[in-house]
Amino acid sequence: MISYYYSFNHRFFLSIFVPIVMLISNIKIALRANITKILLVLGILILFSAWLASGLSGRQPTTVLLDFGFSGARIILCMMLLAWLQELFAKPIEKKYISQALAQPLPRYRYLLGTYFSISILLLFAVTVFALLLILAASFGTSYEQVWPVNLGWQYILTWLYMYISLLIVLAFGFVIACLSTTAYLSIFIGFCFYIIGHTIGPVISYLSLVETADETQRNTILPLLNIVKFIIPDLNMLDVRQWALYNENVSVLLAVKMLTQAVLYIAVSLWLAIALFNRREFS
Amino acid sequence: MSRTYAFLGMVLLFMYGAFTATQGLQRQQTDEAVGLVLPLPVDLSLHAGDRFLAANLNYFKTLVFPPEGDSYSLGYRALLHQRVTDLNPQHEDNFFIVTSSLPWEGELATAQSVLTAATESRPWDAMPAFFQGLNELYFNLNVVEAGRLIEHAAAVETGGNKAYFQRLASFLNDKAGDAQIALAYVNLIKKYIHSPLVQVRLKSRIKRLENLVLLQNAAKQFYQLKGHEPQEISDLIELKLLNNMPIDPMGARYIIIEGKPSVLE
Repeated sequence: MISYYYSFNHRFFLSIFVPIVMLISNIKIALRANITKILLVLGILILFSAWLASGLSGRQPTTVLLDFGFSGARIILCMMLLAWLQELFAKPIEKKYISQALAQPLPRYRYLLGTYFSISILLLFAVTVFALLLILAASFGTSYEQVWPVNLGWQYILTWLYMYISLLIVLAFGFVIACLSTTAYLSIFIGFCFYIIGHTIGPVISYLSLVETADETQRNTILPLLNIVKFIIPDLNMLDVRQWALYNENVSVLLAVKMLTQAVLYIAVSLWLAIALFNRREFS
Repeated sequence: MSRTYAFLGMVLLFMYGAFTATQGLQRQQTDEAVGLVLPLPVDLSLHAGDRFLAANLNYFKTLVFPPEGDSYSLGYRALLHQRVTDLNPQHEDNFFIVTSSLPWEGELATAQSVLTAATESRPWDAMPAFFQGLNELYFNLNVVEAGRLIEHAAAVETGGNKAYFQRLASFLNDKAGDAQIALAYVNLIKKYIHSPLVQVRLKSRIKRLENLVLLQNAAKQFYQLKGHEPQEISDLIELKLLNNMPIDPMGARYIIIEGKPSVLE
């Protein structure tokens, strides 16, 4: 009777129940953390400043409001995900109490993927909150009727979706760094550097190689370097598709599908690397 | 006692250090533009790689310039507007502010570059092409290019301006190449604009157009005398219809294409 229970039921029970418990406890820990509340308040303040910025625009106040809102929300969301990564994954490694969690009779990759999944659920929740707040601000914040109105339909949802995917890439990269490092802060620092470089690289390459008036010394020194770096760090700026919502630009389905495929591949490779590193690591 | 001397010595050393440091700062102040218009890669990374945010904040920077600034600050303002275009060419406020300010203050090249980028990146918007055409007509007196741009604006426009743009374009296309009309137009402009910078520009434009009128009249006389159009300008000089080869004030050359005198830049 006992052997039957352990050989079948217990494993089945663990595979269903542990991820749910893990998800709930992770969400509880993340929401209880002070940094989450601080960043949420900061995000609302940034949305307020986006509304103030719209007053400086003569022709397109709603566009500027949305533009500022997207920019501010993305930075805050990136900080949030790095804070959660530190709180839920890097800190247990640093403080060594991860060995308790890994004592469960389950493979290690489940713990890593479970944490990744919990943070992505939290992030989706945060993205939804910001998207709703911004659409409220854009609908009631300005009274000026623009000649070229913004698109708050599915282009708006698509913009947030692609932003969410680009943040998931940063998160996956953060996991790789967290598996390598012994201090919890390294994943925050390198993760944010990755976020900045990933967004900067694409526009700089296109500016230096396409615009004729670009600085010649920059073209000779920075461009060859960036052309190597672009094979390691993905062009996150490509996933910033807010021009579809801001300027009602035609959506290129081919480009959208290509970007999505690249993003999913990058996330998969990063997570595979993180799992490989996590499996080899010794916690004592 | 020795402690007081040591303290005084340290104060003197500190003052010397502060003095040399400020001297160094003053020497470096020659390139103020670095603080205002950063190199694009630095600018972008300081805005967390967000080209839209960088474009918006650079645009807000242009708003704090005094409206009647000197030529020094005007150069930086033009650089900032160009930067906004490099980061986000679709920015609507940017090209509207540029149209209403830069060409009148002598920064026509930047204005046209901003408007070209806006025309290319906003295929649904007729205004950038229309403004660009007006600038070509008003400041460069290039009737042919103006006609082409306003025709493009008419093709894009879907609202109430379509008929107006079409009429203007066809008028310009009819009058293209008639130096007499352009001369009358530019003389009218000269009367109403008091900016010394624009006056200098207009002076050389007027000289060029006067030369063109001279050549066109000579070519007409040549046709009446010979029954066919002249091949070269030397043909006109040989028949004493022209005293000498006219010299262009902006360094271009006059040639005859298909019997009609024109300017080769």
